[in-house]
Amino acid sequence: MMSKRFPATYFDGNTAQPWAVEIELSRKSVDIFDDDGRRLSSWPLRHISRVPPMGRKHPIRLKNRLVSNARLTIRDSETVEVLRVLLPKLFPDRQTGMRLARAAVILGLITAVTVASLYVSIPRLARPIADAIPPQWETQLGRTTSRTISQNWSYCEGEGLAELDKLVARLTASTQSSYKIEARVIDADVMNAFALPGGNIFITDELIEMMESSDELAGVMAHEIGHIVLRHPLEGMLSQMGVVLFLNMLTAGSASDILGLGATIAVISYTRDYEIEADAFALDLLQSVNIKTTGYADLFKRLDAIEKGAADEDIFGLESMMRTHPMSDLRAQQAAEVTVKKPVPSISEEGWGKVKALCKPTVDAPAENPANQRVDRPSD
Amino acid sequence: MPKGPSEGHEAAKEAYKARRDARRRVPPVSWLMRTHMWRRVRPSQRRVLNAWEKIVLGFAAGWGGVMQLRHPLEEDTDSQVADASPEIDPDLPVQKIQFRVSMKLSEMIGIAVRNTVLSIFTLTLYRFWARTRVRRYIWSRISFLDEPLEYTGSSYELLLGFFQILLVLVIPLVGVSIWMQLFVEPDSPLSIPYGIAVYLGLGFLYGVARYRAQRFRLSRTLWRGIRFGLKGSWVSYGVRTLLFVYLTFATFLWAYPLQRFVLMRQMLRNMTLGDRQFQFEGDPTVLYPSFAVGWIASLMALLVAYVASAAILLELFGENLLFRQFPILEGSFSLTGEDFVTIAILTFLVTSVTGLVLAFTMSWYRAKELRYFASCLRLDGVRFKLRASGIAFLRLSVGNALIIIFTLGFGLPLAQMRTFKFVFKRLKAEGQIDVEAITQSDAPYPWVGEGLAEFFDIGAV
Repeated sequence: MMSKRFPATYFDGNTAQPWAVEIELSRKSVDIFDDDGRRLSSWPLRHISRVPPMGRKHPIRLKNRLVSNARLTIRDSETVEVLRVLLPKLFPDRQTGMRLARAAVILGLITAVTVASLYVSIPRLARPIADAIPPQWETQLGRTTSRTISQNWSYCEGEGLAELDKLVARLTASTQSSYKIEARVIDADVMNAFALPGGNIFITDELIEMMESSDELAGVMAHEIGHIVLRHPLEGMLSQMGVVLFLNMLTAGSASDILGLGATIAVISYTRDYEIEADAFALDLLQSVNIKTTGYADLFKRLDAIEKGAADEDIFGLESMMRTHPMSDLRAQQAAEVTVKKPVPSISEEGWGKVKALCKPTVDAPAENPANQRVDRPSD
Repeated sequence: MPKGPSEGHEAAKEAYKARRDARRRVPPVSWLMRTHMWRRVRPSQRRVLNAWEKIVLGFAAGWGGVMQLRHPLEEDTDSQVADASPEIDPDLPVQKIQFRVSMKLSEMIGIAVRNTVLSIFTLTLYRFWARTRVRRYIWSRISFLDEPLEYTGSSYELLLGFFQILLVLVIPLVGVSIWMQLFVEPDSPLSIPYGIAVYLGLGFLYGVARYRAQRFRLSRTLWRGIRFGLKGSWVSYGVRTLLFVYLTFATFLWAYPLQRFVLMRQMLRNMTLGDRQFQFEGDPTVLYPSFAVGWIASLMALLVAYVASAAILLELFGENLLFRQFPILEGSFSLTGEDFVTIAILTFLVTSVTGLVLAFTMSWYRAKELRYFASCLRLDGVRFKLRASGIAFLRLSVGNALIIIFTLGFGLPLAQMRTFKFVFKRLKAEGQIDVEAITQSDAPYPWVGEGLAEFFDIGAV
């Protein structure tokens, strides 16, 4: 028994010739016959899908997954009704708002999990990678980075530098470090001290200004030496670079500004870990070279007070949130717990005076960089 | 319509299949996966596995792509085509080919909203699916000789194309640039050849990105079961783009019409529909009178616009606007966040003023260019004609700019739709062609696409 045949148009995918054909619909396949009744092709139903345009007034166009370019166009309404019964998947419901919302939530969750795992894993990967990097590279890296520092801020010169070097030498005598650690004072508007990969430590003149004793300076130096010996600057750079690069690559660089901020936030939680490690290192170091740790505690207490004051001025709270030294109170407590039996002063009284005099304008001091005189920051 | 496929047709079919099988490369990994475990996997899981397989293979193909990069000199059909006029049967009737465009703003807004929502929720990763969706819609709403175009590309092909370029090109280049920044002194002898290589490489890759993206899109465009295609060498297109970019700068843009003509000619001459190749013949000097008018008008209008906007700014912010907020002018290079905001605002103002002025002064040239390029194009005996006035072009470009600005870029599909509508509503073709004798294309069929264009942010749909 021959079942009913319906008219259709067939493109065989080899020529641009439209063939007027008849098709036979069954539960298994759509069979295509030419006018002489020869079977041209048989398309199994499971391999058939529909191509757009799908609107109501457009004819139905079918393709077969196995025959890449062949197309079958059906205009006859009776055929369409039979097809609707045989292959309901060709007649999808319209997209609704609910379905869009569901897709958005699911895709959003997948993305959030991916990005979160990235934020967690990249900074964790930074430590083994940093360990694999030879110290010579790190020194070279530090040289390039400190060049950008010297381009933007001027170094303070004076007799106090020799005292500073003596202090560094005393602190580093017992640490086994493959870096040549060197401290410099820079003329800047903010109170800060930081270490770069490869052994460069920078302290701003503002910070030295607010210090009340040389033990406080020794504390800061010990802390920064801790960062260098534990390779924190390199790890921090690696993880920040990793997050920024990865996210930029994923978005083809389209959202780099926002993502840059995201990377800073991601890295900040690890910076806290670095600070805790460096604190422990610094207190150990101070104890081993017999320098009083009360200076360390005092300094951080005062910094805390200043920070609180600045936070009041800072409307959005953003600046204090982004501070990399956030836990002065806790630190002061820890420092107070460490006792030194026979304390030796870190720098002589006379030497401390010289250090304090660094960056103080003198008569024959060269004209300062005008950029540094601009006063427009709340931290001043 | 004839009664059924003839004997000759069967032969053509066999020949085509043989060619196709020779081209088709079955990845061995995929084959192994299927023989071992495929039968135990439920159909619903198969789709997921298929997707994963494509992604994994895409990473592998990224490295495989290096092989392709090493043998890029495919036959350059550009030179052969020039004198190879096809023989046209004089008995063929002259037919008028109308292009029908039936895109609807409401439907496109639906697509744009969906794409926007999902792109935001996926941090733009949905963009490959979004682009595919837009293309499917636009293609399907353009038809000629009663048959719509069909976009056959998939989102995975775009995703894999992106990963391919990421692995082969972007990651190594980012590595090199980080290395140069951190470990090479700025005054070292290495930095000069490096800088030159970067600038040359970018110009070249920009051209390559355009050509390969166009090849991918055309290879995924189907009409009556026949593929479009782009033959020719992307290397030569890249080199030409590179040379012209610098030539155009060096001649204060006077080489621009020549650049447009030469590059357009190379692109269109290598375009195919099935086994037929498009022809493109013309003379770039035709473009120069309207370009000269546009160039002079632009220069004067830009001067007036800059002076006027500077005057307005000074009026609003006072005389010390630049000196107080622009530390570079004070001889210092340390910029604060405020300075960056100032610079960003000024850059935005300058670009938008320039863009607005050029939209007005160059529209007539652009319309002329479009009309002329259409008239240079030929497919067998069919010639093309595009009716586009400067005013209409101005309406198109200003409208598109407004759409993109006011939708924060998410309305891009609407702008693209307007552009397609503009071209195909105004395009007419007339001449002798035996459409039904066109057979399947053997133009290159890249299996992933457009990764490079993605990184250059080339916006053409």
